[in-house]
Amino acid sequence: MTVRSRVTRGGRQRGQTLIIFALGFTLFLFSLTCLVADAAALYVWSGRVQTAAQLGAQSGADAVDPRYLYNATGACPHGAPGVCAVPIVDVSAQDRSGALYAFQRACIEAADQSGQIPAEATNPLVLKTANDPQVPDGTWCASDGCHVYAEISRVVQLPIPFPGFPETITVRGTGYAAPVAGTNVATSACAGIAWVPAPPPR
Amino acid sequence: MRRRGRRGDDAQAVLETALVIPILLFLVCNFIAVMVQVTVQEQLNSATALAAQSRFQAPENALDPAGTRCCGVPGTSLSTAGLPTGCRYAAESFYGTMTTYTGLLHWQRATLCTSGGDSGNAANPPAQPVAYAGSPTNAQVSCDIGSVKSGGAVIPGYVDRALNPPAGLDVVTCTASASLDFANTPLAWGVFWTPTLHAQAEALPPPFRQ
Repeated sequence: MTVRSRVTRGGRQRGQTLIIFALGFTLFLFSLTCLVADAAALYVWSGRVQTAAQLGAQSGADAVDPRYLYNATGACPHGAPGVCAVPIVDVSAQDRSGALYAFQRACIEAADQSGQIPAEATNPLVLKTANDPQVPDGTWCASDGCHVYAEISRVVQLPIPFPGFPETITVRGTGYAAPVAGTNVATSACAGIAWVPAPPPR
Repeated sequence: MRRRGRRGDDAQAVLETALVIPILLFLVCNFIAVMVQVTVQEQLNSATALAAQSRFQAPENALDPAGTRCCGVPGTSLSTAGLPTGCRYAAESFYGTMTTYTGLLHWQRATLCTSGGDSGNAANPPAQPVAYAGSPTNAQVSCDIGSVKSGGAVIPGYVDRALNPPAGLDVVTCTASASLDFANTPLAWGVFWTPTLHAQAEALPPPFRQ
């Protein structure tokens, strides 16, 4: 092998290395860009969804009729004599719309609006309400009689999806809140007597 | 000959570094600035939403007694005497939530408690809220809240005609605006923009209050 041919082969190898490096580095930079953009979007949305869940739970807790918590009584309906328990908004049939209790409607409404859950995938400006189906993303609210529990899921479109991987990721947030009731006896425990007659369907 | 060439390479490397480092620093400054802006905007959204919702944790028709002040932030004391207690609750939630990056914010001061206001529809023209008598005018947040006077007169809140049309629904709205200024931070070296952040939130009254 002559000196000249050895030099030529070395030059070719350098050229080959350069091309491989350029391709590899391009792939690396692209992956890094995807990772940073997607992680940033998910970070922002996870915080937003968590806040929405907290707000939804608080809104649901605020919607619990305090007359129930105080065992309020009033005049009986239809002029009947005596004192009767007042109709409670949360459990009265006339105040329910569909399968939702009042606290669920308030919880879902607030969480969907705050979490910016779109009613249609094509138009993100129109947001879901409590009347819309809460799938594939939306809010689920329940209560054990002491707390209101909100769980919100939101399908997030990744800004730069990596080829071969999903273009969307579902982020979730959960929040708890308790209705406020003042009593004349200090208590630290909740009996867990639900203002809903049965666990709400999911 | 070889020594002179190496010295030339070194000089070129120094020159390239001197050119690239400011560009990199500029990019890093702006990345950080965008991150701060997103964080503050999220915090502002949360604070206004919580403020609007907090109104419903106050007794329905309560008014603050004389001498009541809020909101516990050093250098900020707002007199809420005679104003709806829900308004003070809203302000306290807002000030309590806005805790980070506040030194970078220049607030657009507003009237703390307002009433009235109408989103409007075909039959009803839109209307602007009016300030409660005695409401502080240097607050960071403004909330439109209805109430009932001691004599029983009803002061309406904001009527959102998009809800329960055409009559609308009396809701609570809170708004806040601030500009994010990086001038007093090291980021000022590479950040030349001052974004204005705005947040508005609306809370529906619980069904038993409607």
